[in-house]
Amino acid sequence: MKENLAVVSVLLILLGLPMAIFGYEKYHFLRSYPPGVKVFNVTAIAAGGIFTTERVAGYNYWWKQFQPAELVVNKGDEVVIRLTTPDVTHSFSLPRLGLGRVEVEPGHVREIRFRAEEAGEFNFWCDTICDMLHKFWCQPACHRIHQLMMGRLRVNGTPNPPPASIVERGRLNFLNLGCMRCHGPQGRGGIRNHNAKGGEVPALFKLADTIVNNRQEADRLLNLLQRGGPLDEREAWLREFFKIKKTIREGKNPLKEDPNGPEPPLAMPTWREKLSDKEIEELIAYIISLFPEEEWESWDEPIAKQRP
Amino acid sequence: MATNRVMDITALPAEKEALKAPWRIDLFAALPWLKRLVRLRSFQFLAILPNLLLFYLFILAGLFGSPIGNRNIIIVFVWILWWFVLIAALVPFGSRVWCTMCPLPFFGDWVQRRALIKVRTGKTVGLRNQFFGLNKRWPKRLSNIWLQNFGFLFLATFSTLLVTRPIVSVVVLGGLIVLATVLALVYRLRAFCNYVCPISGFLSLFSMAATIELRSKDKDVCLKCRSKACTTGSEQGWACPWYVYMGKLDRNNYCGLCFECVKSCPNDNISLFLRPFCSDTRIKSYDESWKAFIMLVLAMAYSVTLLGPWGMLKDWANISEVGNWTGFLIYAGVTWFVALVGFPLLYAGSIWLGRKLSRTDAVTIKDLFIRYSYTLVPLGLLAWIAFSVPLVMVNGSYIVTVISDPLGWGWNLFGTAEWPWKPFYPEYTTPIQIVLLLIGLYYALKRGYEIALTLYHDERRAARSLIPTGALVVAVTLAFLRLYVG
Repeated sequence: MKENLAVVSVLLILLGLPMAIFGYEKYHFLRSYPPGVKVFNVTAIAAGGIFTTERVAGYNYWWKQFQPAELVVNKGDEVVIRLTTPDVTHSFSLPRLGLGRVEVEPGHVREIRFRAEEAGEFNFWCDTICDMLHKFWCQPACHRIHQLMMGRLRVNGTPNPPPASIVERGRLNFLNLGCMRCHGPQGRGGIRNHNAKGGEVPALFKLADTIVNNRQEADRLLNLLQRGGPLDEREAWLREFFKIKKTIREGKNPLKEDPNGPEPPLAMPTWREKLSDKEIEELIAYIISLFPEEEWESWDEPIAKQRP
Repeated sequence: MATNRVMDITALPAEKEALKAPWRIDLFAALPWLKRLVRLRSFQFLAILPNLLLFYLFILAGLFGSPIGNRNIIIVFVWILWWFVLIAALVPFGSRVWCTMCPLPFFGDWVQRRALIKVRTGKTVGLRNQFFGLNKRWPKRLSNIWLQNFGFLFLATFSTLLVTRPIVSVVVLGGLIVLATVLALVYRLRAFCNYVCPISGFLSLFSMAATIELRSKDKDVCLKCRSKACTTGSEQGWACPWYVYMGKLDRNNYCGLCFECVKSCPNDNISLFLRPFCSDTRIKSYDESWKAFIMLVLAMAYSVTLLGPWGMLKDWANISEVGNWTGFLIYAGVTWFVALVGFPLLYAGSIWLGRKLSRTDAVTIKDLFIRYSYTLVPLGLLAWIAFSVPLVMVNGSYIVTVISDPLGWGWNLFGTAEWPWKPFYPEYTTPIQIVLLLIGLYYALKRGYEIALTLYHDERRAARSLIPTGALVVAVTLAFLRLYVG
């Protein structure tokens, strides 16, 4: 009798413990969220520079190639993203929908709750600077391969009509593509780029004074872009505009402060495969719109013409 | 009180003092409930069962839980809590009582005995119980603790991985369980525990210092006993898994405190005794001496690497993250060399010098080498405790958090999952370490002198022979103090 009891107790442990663990996890999970809420467990992993929805545990963390996270919800869904990380501190930003920045520390679960009110595809990424430079992204063509730590949220449904304003469309792209990761929020700059000329990634908010000569030209350009009319590359006043457009499309390596020093870690990636011409023009329109209003008014035209 | 040594009436006063039997208190006589408890057939099973549950939880947590060490119960409970309790409490006060409740050989015993509680009588290779499996004799050449010595050194070399990565702990603990089970199917009794388990290796050495012992009450009764059931088993109890004969047992080293002998002894001649610290003083062979060297050197290596200020050494030891193989090989090579060759040579030099100073050849170098290595037992044990104290005082708060979230899944079972990390009176760590090391030094020198007296029967020769080894022990203690105090 005692022997049988002993055997039963051992079997209870061997079978019951995993059932208890996984059962409680399911119960704990279900209890924490009302029905109908779409819950995603997203794990940020440093080694692969990736967000993943796959289970990350002791048995697979060190060897598995995890798949990047792609979250799919329907318009109108209540969504909860449960963020964890098995290694170092990461963060979560989805500026296109105004979500984040949320910092995620190892061993803790951080949640983001929102309602998917807008259909479309939205990128999120880790906004924490690490030595792998996962915050930034550069394609192989620029010889420095950084893996952007990024995931995607897809909201199914009828997308909202795009904004009428080209500047607004450009702003949304600026947010969704993460341009601020290098160029700073609203293109204000401040991101260091070691041994690049100026020591930083260029700010964009005053780029307008390179593209156009004065407020009138800016307005004229914006109107042309808004109408969608063809722009003639041969026109002298549009020379800088097309230069900027080419830089966005083709990418560019920064000039070195010290020619003998190391390559700056950050460079402008190519966007030709990701952005159409029209989308690039929308970005430029947004950049032009960033120029401070008070500086338009105080801009001295002769000084502007002297600028290279 | 029973004596366990014959007093020589011509012995010197100091030697008489040394030879005098240490006090012993018969715990079974003083605490009858204790005797009833260990005589229960289900005693060991009930002792193991909670640990089986816990270790299974640890393995599941290591596999499916967070890869982060301080958020996974396997790392926090095994390498902070269990290790500290083992080295600071169970071993010095309970001898090999961990072996009583260890779950590692559980499945091996189960398949070998095909029983969890009851006793199977029969005849298997001269034993009076029925055992299953091949019941092969363990190879004579390996009937020592050398395998355990090298096993422990190997694990210690990769300790930064072992004590920080849950999956590595799973592989090691799970591997030991599998190995124990396989060995139980092939060899007799607990070959794994006796000759392979790396934990058993250092338990065998440091249990000599413990304050309890399981012994026969009267050796004459054992001499007259025909059945020797303590070793061979009977209807009441299994044959000793450690193949120990209680009639001759005079050391704790290889008694795993399973208490089968207490059940099977037909003369009720076995009891558990309370005794002074460091009562067993006889090291018998080179493998045990080397165990003492290895444990002391590793205590120093761990202290230097994990507690010291030298970041380069930490990087060298931390091979999986830093990947500096050159540094790692230097670190591992130096550790192995010092443990197996360097320190033993230094020690051997002190023995040689001591023998010279004694001005007699009455005691052989081999005897001196082996017997005096006991001085490293109390020092090594207390050095390990001193090393382990900051681990639990600094990291102890993780125990509180993982209780609520054992797998690092975001649970909060008891509301403590978000407790911040907080060291526990860290300012007292160093004073505690100093006291522990000085206690270790005291017993090293005291017991060393007692051993010297039994060898030389002459106070002055004994003292002179011990001077170099004593100086070595003092130097090692000072090195630890320098490291901890600064």
